Amino acid sequence: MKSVLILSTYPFKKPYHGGQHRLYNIALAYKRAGLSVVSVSIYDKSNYQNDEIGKHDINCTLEGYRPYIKFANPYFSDYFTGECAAASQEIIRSIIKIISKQNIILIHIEHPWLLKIAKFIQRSLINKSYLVFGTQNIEWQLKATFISNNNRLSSQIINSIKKLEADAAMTADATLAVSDADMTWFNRFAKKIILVPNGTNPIKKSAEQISSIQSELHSESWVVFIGSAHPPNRDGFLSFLGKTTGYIPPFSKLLIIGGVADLLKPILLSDLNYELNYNRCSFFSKVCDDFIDAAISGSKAIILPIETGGGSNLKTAQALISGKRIVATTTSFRSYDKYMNISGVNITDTSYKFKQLVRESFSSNVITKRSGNELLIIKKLLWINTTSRLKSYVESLINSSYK
Amino acid sequence: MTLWINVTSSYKWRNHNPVGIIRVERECLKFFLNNKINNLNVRFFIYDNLNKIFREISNFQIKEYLYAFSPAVVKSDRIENAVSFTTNNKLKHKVKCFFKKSINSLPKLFQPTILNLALYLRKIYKLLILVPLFYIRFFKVDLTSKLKLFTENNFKKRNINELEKFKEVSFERNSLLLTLGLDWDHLNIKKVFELKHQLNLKTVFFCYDTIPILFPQYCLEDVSNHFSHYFIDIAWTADHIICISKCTRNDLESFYKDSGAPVPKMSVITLGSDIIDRKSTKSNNFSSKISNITNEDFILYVSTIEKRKNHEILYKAYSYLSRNKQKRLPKLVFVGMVGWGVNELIRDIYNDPYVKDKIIIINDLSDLDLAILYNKSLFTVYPSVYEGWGLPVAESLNNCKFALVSDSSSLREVGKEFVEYIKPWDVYKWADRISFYSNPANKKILQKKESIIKKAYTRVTWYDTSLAISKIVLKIN
Repeated sequence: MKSVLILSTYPFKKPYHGGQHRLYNIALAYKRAGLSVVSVSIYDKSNYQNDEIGKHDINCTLEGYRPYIKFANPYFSDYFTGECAAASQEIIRSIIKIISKQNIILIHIEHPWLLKIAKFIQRSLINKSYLVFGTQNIEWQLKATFISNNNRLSSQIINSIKKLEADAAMTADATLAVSDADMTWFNRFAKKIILVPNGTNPIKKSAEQISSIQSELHSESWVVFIGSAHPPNRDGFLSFLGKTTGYIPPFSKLLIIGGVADLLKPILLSDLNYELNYNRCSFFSKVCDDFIDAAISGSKAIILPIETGGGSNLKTAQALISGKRIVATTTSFRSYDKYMNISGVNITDTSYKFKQLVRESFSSNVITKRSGNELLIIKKLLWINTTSRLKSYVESLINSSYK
Repeated sequence: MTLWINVTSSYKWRNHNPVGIIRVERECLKFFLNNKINNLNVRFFIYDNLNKIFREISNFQIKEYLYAFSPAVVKSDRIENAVSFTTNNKLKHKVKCFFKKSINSLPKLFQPTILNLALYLRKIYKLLILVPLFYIRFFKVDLTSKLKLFTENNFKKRNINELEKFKEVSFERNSLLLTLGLDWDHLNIKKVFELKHQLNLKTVFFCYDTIPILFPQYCLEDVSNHFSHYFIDIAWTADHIICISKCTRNDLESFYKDSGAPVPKMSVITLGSDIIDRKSTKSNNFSSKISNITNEDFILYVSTIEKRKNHEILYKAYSYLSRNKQKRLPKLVFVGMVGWGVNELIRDIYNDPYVKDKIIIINDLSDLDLAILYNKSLFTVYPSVYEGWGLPVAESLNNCKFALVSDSSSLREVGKEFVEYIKPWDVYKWADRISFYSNPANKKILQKKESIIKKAYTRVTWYDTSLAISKIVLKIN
């Protein structure tokens, strides 16, 4: 059976963060197109539990890797993982062994980090194979925001990443972009660009789960903020909502879910606002999809206080599909511009107005009702629809190989 | 329509002189007890924190518990004749006169015998007091902790029993709730929020200041934390917030806007400043606590002794003046409880040879004593860093006394054009102005200032304050 080899720097057997969800659904798209999926992630063991690791995933620790230790910035671990893995004969041999009995016709690299390994493997394959470069951001621009000390080494690393991204786009047979803005940048180098925006799955409504959350919170009224441990998520929250949760009424809650909970908890539960925020906020850093679905289903609103960052926000798609009231910034609706006027979507870029809109979410007068047309438009956000172009592309590749 | 007034703070404070917030609550209470407000049915409640319920306290019970135990009898039309159970000189004198009269009314034959018997009984009585005192002093018995233990064991139980004497109250739908005490400690705001939505209650809260949020460094750690939570809960619960100054209102509004909380309607009222009838201050019937002070010139500062109140600047000013051999420096009298964070200052005052005989600290004065001190002072000072209002400044003006006042927060609203303003941390300016006004050569300037105050300053009484509150309440109704 024809197969696709997916190379990434994180496992996605049990997706938690947005990147994992995206890759998981891209893999499903490949399967729908008729390919068998062989996924090999080169990951750091310390970041994942055993049940998150796939059978072919390879551990690559950066503990003793000098260039990483010298640079000492954890936001660049993915870049250095790629460099470290590419220099490891053992890792390359392992991958070759994994794919030896597979009929690989397509290699997918998620982010540019494993480009060197992908090129090597492509050369080693007997049959022709295609390379697809999956992007989620313009990485060099994003990484540049994580640099606190602008020295020669930092500039070198950023330039290196920039070159790697351009090289990946130039080398790949197709580049998957997440938004129109990203497409514009990659268009300069890419042979072919396919727009694959972030999507979402339908929200499961479980009365039992909702009831369980209500018991845990001792509250029936809450708003939800879901985000990964991506610093812009934290910064956006603090910028638009601040440290004092005065916009949450008594007996109601602000649920902070995902990796961003670990970033915000020490900030919100400190200093003068400890007592208030302890009373109003609940933090859930690692929870299952069922919990997230229940939290969304039972919520008064979903908040998206994103201030910076490229790409598109997975959570925006999830919020739209949920049918709930949304309070968001313009940035969080990047690549979802046509959904900004949908009923129940409230966009603002000022902190004062943002807090006011969140506060108003708790009023019983606020009900979100969408028209039939709006519901149809929103359905396009499901992963099955957002990855349809990728599926079509793969099908065309398969068909052309029969000719 | 029923107006329910929260008296929890006054009830818990009933064994002390009413100061600050308690005074505001008491004065308001007095007004509502003694005056009929349109068709409002006024009732009173206490929040029972142990059982998390509200209990009604009747008018009679309020007078019994609040005014019977108060060492200071606050004058009012109705309660002038309230009985004080504490012994005082008047009572002693009355008892003495009664005995004299009784013995003189007896036949002359029996008078010496009865007199000797009375004197003998008096000796026994004194012995019963002196022996325990001797025991305590000789054996250094820690009476304070023993008393504390005793009251904790018995008072609490009695307190709980007393609360259970009051019936649990059920507020009617659409009632009005007015609360102006130490709500952050004595009231469960969330409970009020719940009831408000269940019963469509209209709620009126008070805001004295937002100092714990603005200046957490002047408060104990947990206090600032707690106040942030408290104010946010109030924002969601109050239909109306009464602030004691424009400064407080602005501070609170600003905090609410920054935090994203709803901003309820707010009004500003002026606190009364009539401690006691001015005629009474002319009498010489004051306690021994202040008799030594009133014999010579002095400057008065009435305030709790804590960091924010900035007693330190006066200490430094006095130290500076004394070291520079300022002649005829009057005594500086601090009237107030010693708060927290000032131990080092107190120690410095007592140990500094240039200052220790010049600064006097006294506490727990009756209203009469306090009024007399205002009356007999040269002038008053108020160097506080930040205030919600600044009641002692108003009290000073009420007694036609000039004041040197810190130029900050609400103090210009209180002092208006009748006082002189100085930046709170300008030691040399404070020293200079104290020196200027305490100089006998400038007595006429001081007198002129007092005369302007007497002519032009409009006194606000507690009655006026309570009337203003009642009008706000009626508007909401």
